[in-house]
Amino acid sequence: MLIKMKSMFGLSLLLIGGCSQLHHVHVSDIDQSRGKLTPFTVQVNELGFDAAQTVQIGADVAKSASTSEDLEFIAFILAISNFGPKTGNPVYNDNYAEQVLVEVVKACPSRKITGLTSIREATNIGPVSGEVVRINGYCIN
Amino acid sequence: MKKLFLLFSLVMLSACTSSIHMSQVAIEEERINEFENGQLISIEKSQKNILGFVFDTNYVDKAYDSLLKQCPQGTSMINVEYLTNHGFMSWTDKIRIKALCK
Amino acid sequence: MLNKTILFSLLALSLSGCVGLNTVSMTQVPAERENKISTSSSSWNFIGINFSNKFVDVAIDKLKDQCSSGKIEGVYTKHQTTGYLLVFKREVIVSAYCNEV
Repeated sequence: MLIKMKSMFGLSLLLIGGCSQLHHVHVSDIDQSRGKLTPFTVQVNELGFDAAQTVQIGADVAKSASTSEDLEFIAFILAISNFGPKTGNPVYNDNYAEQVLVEVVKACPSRKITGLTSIREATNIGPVSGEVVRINGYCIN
Repeated sequence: MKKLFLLFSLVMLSACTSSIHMSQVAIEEERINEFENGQLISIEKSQKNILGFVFDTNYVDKAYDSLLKQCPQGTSMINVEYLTNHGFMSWTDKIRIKALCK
Repeated sequence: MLNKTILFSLLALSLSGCVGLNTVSMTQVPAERENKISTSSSSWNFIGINFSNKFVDVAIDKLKDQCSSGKIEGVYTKHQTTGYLLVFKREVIVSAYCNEV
């Protein structure tokens, strides 16, 4: 009964879908004295996946005790193999935000930019998430 | 034996995740000059951390000193990233700086 | 049993309204600081479930409206979360200085 309740709860969380998390925000100076401002957004994202949490969910919903134990052991191994501070879910590619600076410059043909806001956020669906780096700014026309 | 093999392959395949904590872009207020991708300087400094036993964050200062050396006249664009590469009972903290020198 | 329930309820109520700082950031502080402007924007959620971070953009727009022809400098940003039992309030508080050029 407890396992069924946990499965129902887990599934309902999945169905809700698309939960947003805000991790970091930095707002820069905004110069509105040099002309009209046109907003732009540069966004890069990468799939985040918490393998240890996924296997732990499997361990909780497993029907047999031995399968549950094995899965718990695997979850433990995965957790200690991916040790360290995490912001959101871990990703398998740490270069996804490499081109952000170049994209920000490309966004403004006038090459006059102000009001940059750097945001680190995530959209979660269960143990999977979209880890996002978003840069909002304004082109001075 | 089968479990040992499974364990070994699990450890080998799983220890490669990362997490970007923050990525910040700052740009000088004046007009940015044209540039090619190759003109951007890139600095990366890291610190290996085993179970959290580290006693300084000097790698960040080293990255900043390196930036000052490579851009003695200052910068017109800068992107700072702080991320962690996860590992087995340890991790590596990294600072990445991309900048366009004046 | 009733005593434990009352005790737990009192404890939960006393912890209600606790604030946690998520991030803080600053830009260069200007020499001219006569005209200070500030704004905040928040987003409420139940048990931490949110579907959007648009409240950050709202804070930026409100800040811009307070200095429509000048330069906004010395921006100081706080991102914090306040917990009220099962309900949470995420907030971005921004203060800056508006200098006419």
